[in-house]
Amino acid sequence: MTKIILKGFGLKTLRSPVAEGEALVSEYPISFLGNVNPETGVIQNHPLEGESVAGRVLVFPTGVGSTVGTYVIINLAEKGLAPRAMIQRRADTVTLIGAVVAGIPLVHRVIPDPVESIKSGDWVKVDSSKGIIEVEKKK
Amino acid sequence: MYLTKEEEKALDGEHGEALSLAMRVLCSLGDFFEAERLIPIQSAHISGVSYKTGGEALLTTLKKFSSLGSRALVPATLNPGGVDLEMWREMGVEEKFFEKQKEIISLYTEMGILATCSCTPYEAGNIPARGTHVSFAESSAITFTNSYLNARTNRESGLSALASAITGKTPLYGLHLDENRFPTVKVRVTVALESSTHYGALGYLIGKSFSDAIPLIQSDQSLPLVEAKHLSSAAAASGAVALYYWGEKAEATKDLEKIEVDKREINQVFESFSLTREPGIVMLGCPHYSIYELKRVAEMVEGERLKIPLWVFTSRQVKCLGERLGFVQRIERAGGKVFCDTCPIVAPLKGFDSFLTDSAKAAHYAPSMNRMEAALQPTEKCVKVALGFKQ
Repeated sequence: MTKIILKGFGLKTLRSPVAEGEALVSEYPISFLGNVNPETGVIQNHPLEGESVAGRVLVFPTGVGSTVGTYVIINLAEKGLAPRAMIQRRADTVTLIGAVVAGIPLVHRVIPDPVESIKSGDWVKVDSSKGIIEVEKKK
Repeated sequence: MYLTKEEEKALDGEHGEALSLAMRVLCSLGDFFEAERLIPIQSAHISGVSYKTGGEALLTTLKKFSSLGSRALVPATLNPGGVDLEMWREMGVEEKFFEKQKEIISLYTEMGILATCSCTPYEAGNIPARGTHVSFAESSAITFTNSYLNARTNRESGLSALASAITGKTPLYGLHLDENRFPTVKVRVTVALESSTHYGALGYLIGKSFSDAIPLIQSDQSLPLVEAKHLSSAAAASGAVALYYWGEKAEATKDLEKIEVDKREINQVFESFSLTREPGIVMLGCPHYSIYELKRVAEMVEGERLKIPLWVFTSRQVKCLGERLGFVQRIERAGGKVFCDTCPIVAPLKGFDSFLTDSAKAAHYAPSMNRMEAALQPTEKCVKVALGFKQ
């Protein structure tokens, strides 16, 4: 099993800054309002259509679209359908505030590029307070 | 992030739990983005109003802020909710939803926020002056404010804009700083943009291609207010464009990635939205229609009879003026409806599976937000279809 370490800048103020799970990687940006079904956590109208963000470590370039995405993230978290952690090339305020309120570890400005170096299915452990990401490659 | 003594006291709860909660939101934001300090804002515009998009999380959040006695310190306006507060029955919305919606709006009102319920705050007196700092949510209004009004706001979340309204402050980072406001990509438009919808199609293409870049858009055409509104809203729906420049900005244009947009690419945007059936309804007014757009539709349907339902969405103040000037009556006499306080995206629309619109933003969100197919056409064509002319 190959293991790689990525380093970035994480959200430091969480009570539980460490989380792990199976990666779901999108090379395209995500608008939580519209692209994620708030009742099921399943991605829609997006190249990752049909995949669920629930319990995954969601890796994506940045958040786009609606500024109400924050409430979609909080609603998902209250239903137990939110991602366990999020990794972005560049964080955006809409995703960040959702992560702060829902207590989801979030890391951005990661080296090497997380969208390129993490693949869906890899097992990813995120320490948001240190900005450290451990990736166990699936193969 | 550096805090003044007063700000530290506010964070620690010495000025009450309400300010403390709002300060905690802003400190998380400022610390994460390495803001140097907080700066005062002139006004705020808050999204997160429709019960459909915000759900119980929105209600819980607002109850928490409200129960602590939160009050807006600066002028603050509100985005559209999920229903027309007067004509909600005509929208086919259930009473239970209406009650939840009323509760959300009351909570905002109790906090001293003006329930303008429109995505065009600049039509309701919340017009940031050039060079001033504000905290705006509503993606289209953010882009319009940065690009057309030359005021400064980051792409705030509904919740961070609320925290800024309560504290009167925002963290100093991102688009509040000169060094982050230079163009990052050049877009040369070689096609004539024939309608406001074409400007929207251009914005849609830019947002989709460059996500959160700052485009310098070079075109021989002017950029009137309505066209700027459509361009802004589409670029902030398909992407996260928060600022664009229109025309030349010579000092910053060296070595920028450059693309050309021609007729074929604009046509492709129109073609990317298509219907497998006849449209069940024509919906206009995303973003909310201005008085001029309302007038134009009124003139097109005057004395005619609509064959397909035509719904026009606008702000309360534009509708009031439109009633005084007879535009609303003309649309209603033709069989159309003019709704306020809500929009085609955030209202829980039932009974239609397809629609035609002049808004790239509405067409973009339609499949996921209302399970509807959408087609995109300029306003004139939309109205002709509603009047029964074949496409």
